[in-house]
This record gives sequence, C-alpha cells and structure tokens, in this order.
Amino acid sequence: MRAFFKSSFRGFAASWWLIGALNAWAAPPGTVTFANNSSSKIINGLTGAAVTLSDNVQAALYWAPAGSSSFKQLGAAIRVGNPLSGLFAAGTRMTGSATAGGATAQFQVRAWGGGYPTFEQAQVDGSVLLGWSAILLVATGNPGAGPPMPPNSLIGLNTIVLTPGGLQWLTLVCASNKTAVCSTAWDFDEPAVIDTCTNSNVNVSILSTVTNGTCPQIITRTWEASDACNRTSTCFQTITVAMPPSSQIVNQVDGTLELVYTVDPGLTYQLQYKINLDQYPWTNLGNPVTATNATVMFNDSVGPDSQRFYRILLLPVSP
Amino acid sequence: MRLKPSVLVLATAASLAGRVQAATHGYVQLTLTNGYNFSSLQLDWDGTLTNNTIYSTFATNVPDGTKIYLWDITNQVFTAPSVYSAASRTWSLNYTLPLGQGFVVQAAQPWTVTLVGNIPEGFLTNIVAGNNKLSLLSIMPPLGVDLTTRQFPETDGASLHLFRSTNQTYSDAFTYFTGYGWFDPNGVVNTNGPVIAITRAFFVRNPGPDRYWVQNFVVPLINSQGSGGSTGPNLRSLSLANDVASLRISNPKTVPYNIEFSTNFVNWTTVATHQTGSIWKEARPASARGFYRLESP
Repeated sequence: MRAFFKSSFRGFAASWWLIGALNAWAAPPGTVTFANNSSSKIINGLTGAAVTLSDNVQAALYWAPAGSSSFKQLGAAIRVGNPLSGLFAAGTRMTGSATAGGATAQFQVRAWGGGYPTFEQAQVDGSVLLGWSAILLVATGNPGAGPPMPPNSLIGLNTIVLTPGGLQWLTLVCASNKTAVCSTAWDFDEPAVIDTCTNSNVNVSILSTVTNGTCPQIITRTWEASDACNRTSTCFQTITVAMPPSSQIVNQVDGTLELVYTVDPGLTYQLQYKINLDQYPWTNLGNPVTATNATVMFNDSVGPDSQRFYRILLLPVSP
Repeated sequence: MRLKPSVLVLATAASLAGRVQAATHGYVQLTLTNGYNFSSLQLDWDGTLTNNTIYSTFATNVPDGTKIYLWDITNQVFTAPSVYSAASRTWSLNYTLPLGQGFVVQAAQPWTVTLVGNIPEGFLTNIVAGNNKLSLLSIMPPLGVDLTTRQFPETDGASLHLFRSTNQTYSDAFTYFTGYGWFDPNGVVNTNGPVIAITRAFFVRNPGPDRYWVQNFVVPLINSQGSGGSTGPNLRSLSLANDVASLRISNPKTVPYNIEFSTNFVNWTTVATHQTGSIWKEARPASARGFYRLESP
C-alpha cells in the first residue's frame, strides 16, 4: 500500500510536469496584418473625402476570440492617412493567447477623431468623428507552425465612414465646379451619396437649377437627398459656360514679356507656364486674375530659362 | 559543421530546345541556417526552367534529417516534407523545384550548398495567385534587387512577407498602395519595396485577380559572340569541384574567344583570352557567386 501511494505520487508529479511543459510549449497566438487598401478606405462622412493626416483620425485593431463578445485592442492605434488619404498600414499584430496560431478569430477596425488616446474615450465625446468596421472572421497566421505561416490580411474589410458620434448620417457630395465652352454639349455630374442609415434607400432629387447670362453663363444646380432615417442633405455644382480666352498680343519690353488675352469681364483666369512641352507639368504663374474688361494682361520676366510656354485657364465660378 | 558537397554537377546541356539563350553559366552559394530557410533556385538545371529537382539541386551530401517543403498554392498549405536520410543517402520525395517558386529548407544545422547552372534569360513568367491567396515566389534570375526594379505586378493592397532566418520570424508586412508604391510600416524600406536577396523566397498575398509577373532579363553581351550561334563558340556547362571551376565550350570551328567572369552581371573581368579549346579550367573563385560568359577577343 505504501509503495502504491509512492508510485501514484510520482505519476501525479510527472503529470504536472508534463502539463507545465505543454503550457511552456503552447502554440503561439495567431497573427494578422493591420492594414487596409483603396477599397477599404476610411472616409470622413461629413465631406465624403478620404481621411487625411491633418484630420487627426486614429484607427485601432480590436480582437475577440471566436464566440466571444469581449473585444480587446491589439497594440497601439495608428494615424490614418499615411501613406495616402484614407489608408493605414501598421504591420503585424498578435492576438491574445485565447486564439492559437492558425485559428479563426474576430477582428474589428475602429477609428476616431479628436485626438483621444482610445476609441472608448472618444465615444464619451459625442461630437467627434467615429466609425467601425463590421466584425471580420479571419483565420490567423501561425508563427508556430512548421514551417511558420505568415499573418493573414483583414479580408472582408470594407470602407469605414466616420460620422459625429458614430451616429447614422447622410451626406450628399457634389462634384467640383467646372467650366464648359459655349455652344458645346455638357452636363452636370451626378452627386455621390454617403449614408449610414440601416435602410440604405436614399432619394436624390433636383431642388433647383438657376441660370444667369447667356455666354458667359453661370448655372448652379442644387440637389437634395433624403433617407429612411429622416435625414436630409443638400449640395450644389456650378458650371461656368464661356468662350475660351484667346491670345491677343505677346510683346517683350525691356526683358518683360507682356501677354494679352481676350476674356469675359467678371470671370477669373489663371496664367500657367512650362519650360519643356514634353516633360514639365504646367505651373501657375502668379495668382488668379478676375477680368474687369474684355482683355487681361499678364507680365513675366524673361529669366534664365531658354524657353517658356504659356497658357491661360478659365477658372470655374464659386458662388 | 559546414558541409561542402564534394562534386557539383551541372547540366550536360543535352538539349537547348526552348532555351532563350545558352550563353551564360554561373554558381550561387545557398547558405542555410539551422531552422527554416525560405529559399529559391535561380539557376537552371537543363534549360527548361522547370526540371530542377531536389536530387539535381542538393544531391545526396546533405545533413541527416534535412527537410524540404513546397507551397501548395491550391490548398494554401505547405506540402509534406521531403526528408533526407544520411543512412540511405536518399530523399523521401524528389520534388520538382521550378525557378521562381520558393521552397522551405528545414535544416538541423547550418550548411552551405553551391548551386550551379544556366542563367535564365529572356521573358521569364511567374504567376501571382489572386483572390487573397498566398504565393511563395522569388526573383527568377540570380539578382538581389527590389521588386519594382524587377517589374513585380502592382496590385493595391498586396502584402509581402519576408522570413528572417536569423530569428525565424516574418517581417512586418510590406503593403503595396496604388499611387504610392510599397509601404514599410517601419519606415526603413523605400517605395520600391524590399530587396529580395539572391536565393531567397518571399510570400505575397494578392487581393486582386491572378497576375502574371513577367521579368525580362538578359545578361549583357558586348560582342555577342557567346550567344550560342550554330558556328561560334558556345558555353555549354560549368562544373565546380572543391578547388577547380571547369567550363565546357562547344567550338567546332575553333573560333577564338575570351572568357569573362562577374559576381553581379555589371562588372565583368576577363579571365582568359584567345581561347579555342572545348574545356577551360581555373581555380575555383572564392566569391559566394559567380557567372561566366564568352566574348570575342
């Protein structure tokens, strides 16, 4: 009997040693790459534009084991907008130990503005921009496999629209104002809709179209959008229809080039130049000029460039 | 222990069918550490670009228990390993090791193998699997350059992982963004992407559709005599012994030729002039890699 107990104790101790060893050799947690791409940008829902670094928006990766609703932030937050607007790339993140390498886990990207250190703190301030992705089920990479498997990507991540307090929001985004030539065909650009209402049916209608003049002609169209969450949003686009400015005189006087163009009074023009027609982009020469009569004159000093080429642009009106 | 295979055999160049060019041969040392090594072949056994095998590459002078895994792109898993037995001097599986596709060598101890073969030239094509699949790839010619220089397909959101043999972990992902280039979250690598070392493979995950990776590579030839014409001298093979490098040259009309040597395809040194014979030998170069070509005197 005594021998039996002794033997059992040895077996018990050996079992504990084995369990301890197994714990020490437990598979490392899973890995995932915390990054997005052009099809999953982070968007400012108020402007419809992709978030830039100056928006001071941060994003963090949240993780929960499969079947759990308890999400935890993985690693530090990252500024959105680096390297390009709406984008971020923060390298590999490792899950908690509850997700072994290679296992599927839940991930969510949460983003916020206002400079708060965490998403939770930003939530308290109901006015800052907030947004989050759907919960993604992703099979993690397995650094403990033989050979090791690389981190997975956040497959299924879609665009995240940030709104004040993360509330449902409707934004109608019109295209930039533009110009057209008299007696040529042109049209307004259809506005884009950003809507976070659960029912995504949005009605977009033309509220008004206001026309002033003939040629030049200023036409402004205003649209209104309304959604099922009883939100409305308006925006407008203005088209400046005019004859293109034409060059009238080019003179050189004492080392200064005088360029005179025929224009429409009241419209605004920008002179540009380039040094090589094949290689250089056009560069603005001075500030835009609003014409006060039928001609406008620009001056340029003849400098060290062996040649310069000029053009004049009609700028769209901004009412 | 550092093993040196006693005899390094190279192609007999039995057939040149399908070859783009047969002008240049070389050797590259594949240095393996204990643990996993993500490797690739960049010299061609027989001119087909596809017939390199474990036996033709590693032969049978390998540390016992060495394993080689391939990447199963369809099932997105590593294959069962081919395991080397020193006792029987056999591999359990003789996998094919195509150029441009990576494989993993699991070594129990550090060792080095010298790979010898034809340098692939022309338009070399690899497939980068899409739909978020991982591909284990390498640059096809023996060049240590960045991905942009090698015309790697540009796919927004593609992520690239390098395996660091020294600490046996993956690098942070390098991500490709359209309109920017490759982004390194650690800010070390520029937008051309990381330099892929010679004989090293990398994983890339491509969220877009399948893409072809076409790499155009031609060894610069000044006088172009060695390009394998029907009557001019033609470099047929290179073999390396412990202390001797031997070239076999086909030269039926005994046209004189020079032999040039380079370690980087850029700087070439003339190592023999006005040769006409069919075999030429020199002391084995001490460099970790080297390439030979023929030129007109």
